[in-house]
Amino acid sequence: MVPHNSNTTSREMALVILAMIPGLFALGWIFGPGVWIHSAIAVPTAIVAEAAILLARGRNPMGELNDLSAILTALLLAVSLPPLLPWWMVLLGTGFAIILAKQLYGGLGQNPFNPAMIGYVILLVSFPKEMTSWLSASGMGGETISWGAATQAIFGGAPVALDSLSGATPLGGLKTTLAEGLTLQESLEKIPSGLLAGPGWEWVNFAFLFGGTILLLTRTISWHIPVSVLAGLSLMALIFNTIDPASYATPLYHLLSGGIMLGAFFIATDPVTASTTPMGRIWFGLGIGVLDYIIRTWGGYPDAVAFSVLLMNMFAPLIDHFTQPTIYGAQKGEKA
Amino acid sequence: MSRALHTFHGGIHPSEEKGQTRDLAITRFKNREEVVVPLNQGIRAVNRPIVEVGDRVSRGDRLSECFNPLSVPVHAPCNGIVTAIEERPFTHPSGMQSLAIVLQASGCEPHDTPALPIAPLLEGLSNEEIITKIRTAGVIGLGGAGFPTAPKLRSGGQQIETLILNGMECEPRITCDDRLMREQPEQIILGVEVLNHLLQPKEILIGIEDNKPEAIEAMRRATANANAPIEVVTCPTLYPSGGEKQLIQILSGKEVPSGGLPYQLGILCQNVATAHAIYRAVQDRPLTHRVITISGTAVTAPGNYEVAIGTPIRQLLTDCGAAAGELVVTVGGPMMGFPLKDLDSPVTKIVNSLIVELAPTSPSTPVRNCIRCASCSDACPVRLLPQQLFWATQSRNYEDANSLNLFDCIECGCCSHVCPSHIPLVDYYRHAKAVLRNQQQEKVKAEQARKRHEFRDARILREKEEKARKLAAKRAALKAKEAQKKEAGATAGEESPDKDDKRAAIAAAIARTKAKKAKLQQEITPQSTEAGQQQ
Repeated sequence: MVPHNSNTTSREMALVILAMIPGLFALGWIFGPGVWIHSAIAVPTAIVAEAAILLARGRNPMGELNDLSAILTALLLAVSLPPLLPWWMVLLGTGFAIILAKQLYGGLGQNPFNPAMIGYVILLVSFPKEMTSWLSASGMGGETISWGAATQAIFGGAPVALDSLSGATPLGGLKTTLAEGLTLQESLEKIPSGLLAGPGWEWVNFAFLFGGTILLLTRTISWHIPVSVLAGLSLMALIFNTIDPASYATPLYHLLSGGIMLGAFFIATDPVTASTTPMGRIWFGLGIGVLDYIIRTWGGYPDAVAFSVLLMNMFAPLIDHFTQPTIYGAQKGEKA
Repeated sequence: MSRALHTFHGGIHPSEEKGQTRDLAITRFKNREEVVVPLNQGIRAVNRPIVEVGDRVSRGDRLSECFNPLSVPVHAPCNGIVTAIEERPFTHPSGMQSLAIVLQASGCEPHDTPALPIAPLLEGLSNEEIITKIRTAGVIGLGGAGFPTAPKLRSGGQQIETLILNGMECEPRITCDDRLMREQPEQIILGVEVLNHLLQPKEILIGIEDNKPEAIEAMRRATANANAPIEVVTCPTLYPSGGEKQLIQILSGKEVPSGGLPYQLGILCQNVATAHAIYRAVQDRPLTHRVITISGTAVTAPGNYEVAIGTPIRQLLTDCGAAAGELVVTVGGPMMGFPLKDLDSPVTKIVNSLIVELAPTSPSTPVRNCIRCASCSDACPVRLLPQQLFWATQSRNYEDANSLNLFDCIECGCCSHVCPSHIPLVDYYRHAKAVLRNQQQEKVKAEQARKRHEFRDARILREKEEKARKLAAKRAALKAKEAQKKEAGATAGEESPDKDDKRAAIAAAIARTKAKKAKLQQEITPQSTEAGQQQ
């Protein structure tokens, strides 16, 4: 029996969860404690849902829950949701993510699609209004959302007073104003903006970038997917920004907007649903980056990490098939 | 002098754990009781005993003869009497039995191997004679795979440009090559000189991992006054750098063609211990002893022991102070070794290490689902896709596994080592390989059976035809005779009588059949009515 190194699935999952802390903190600081309340709802929901299905499948729930993957899925979903989403939607999304997208396929390692993103997309297509209403950044000059207000909004139905605070995300706003025929410069002046991108969003993205860097340094993830996601998005942004700077935002704006860093480092890198070959991971990441840009710019949704990831999940087996590395000693011209 | 080294893909840094034995000098193990020399040594060793029960043999006597070019004979490691030739447990993962020659041992001290110049030993010998000497001395690769040395030296008749000596010893825990290089470097170099004499390569490289500085130093010193262009190359420690293909890649940057052999690149690779055995072979000292490392927490006297081939492992463990209680003995290193099924199995030529541990009392960490993290493919030195191989073998889709280059897997265990889900990946591949090999054998057997059957059919047909031909010839002869008769009769003006006879016979036969049919009809009718009544 070959000795194993100290790495375990649980350890990898734990590292990813730890690396999410900066992002969780930034989101809470900027958009109020909603994200923390959502996490507190999603994590127990995920554990209960996973345990229930494992019991129904005749498995020992304790033996599999401690791989921590359900908790990670719950957290990934929680940080993707608008901060004042009603509690039952969080419950619904998490339940779908764990039961439908993960356990019904056979549990950890068997699901073709990223569970957190399935949960997110089910909520997005079912409740489009709620799912696209974000708070303006409070930590960055906007009004602070108190714990009380956030709790009330999440558990008691959104009170009217908060409506003034919520609105489209900067990316969504930018798309609307650009569609109205304004130039990029005029749009950026009209919608609230921060230092480099939408207010607060650059800090959220920096925070996830920081967490992602930790994952890279601890070799929990390889560089291929995050780098190629960001490269795909930047490349598209660069091309269109060069062609028509008046209508298309710069690569930097795109890189620091929406959930791209979260997507590149934490979601696209879910090993279960991503490509596994070195070249395949690069194509997979590029695909996500390019699709994200396309949907952001011309699609019906303000951000598109979830859709791009799910679309590329579908292609992962195909990509793997065509990117098998050439093995040691393979003859030239011979199929590897 | 430093060389530009190349790297291979992946590789791992497992915990080396060589400290337990690396500073323990080689000591001779004293045999008592019996020695069990299995006739099955290494690969395809089809051996036939040439001694009988009751024979008295002296150390170094040949015990068997072999006819397959890939097999080598075995020799008596000590003086003694043949007490049995029978099936005994064999040192194999399956725990199978093998025919073995059992000796009652007396006096098992191996010969010393003084370092003497080889020129007088090789004088007047042709290359073929030297290779035959090496073969009849029973020399096979001592690094672990056990490929016979003589056919390797013939190299398909190709010119060898680079001779590589493998002193990497990259597996954790094993230190026997390290010790041999430190203690008997001159003898190893003399073996290299024999190889140099045979192959006349342009360069000779001795690869040693940088975690063995003493061995590097000793080999450098021994090389200084050698009669051959030898260079000792220090390589970075990275498992599995000691794999033949990986070492060739490190030193030459070239890759052995998939399914091919190193000589196709003009390269030949030999283990340092094999070089030592070659030197002994040209002195007409057969391979009867080897150095093995015994380590683990369940022995009080770990170390490097020069052991007679055929020593039952149980004897060794007793002398090394193995703990009482249930033991788990791993044959080979922790990465590529296998658990020993029966402690009565003997040390064979390819056993380089025994790891003795107490059987674990707590269950090992659970195997979880594969999460496709690709740590395995990042670690694979062959650039395979271990997790895809795993999915294929797990679902018994062996053909798919085959097209994922299953047979290029060197079973180094890197993938299993890095798997966060603790899946014993290599075990799956070994199983799949065995299944595919079996299928291949079945196919060959079926093909042979089909050919035999076709041959039989053809033979029966041929015989039938021959019979028919003979019969026809006979008939023709008869007819000719009759025609002669007829001719004679025709002259008499008579009608042929047998024609009428034939007609009468046919009429009679028709009448008989009609009667039979009528009778049958009668029988059927009452039966069917009976059946109808019963219903």
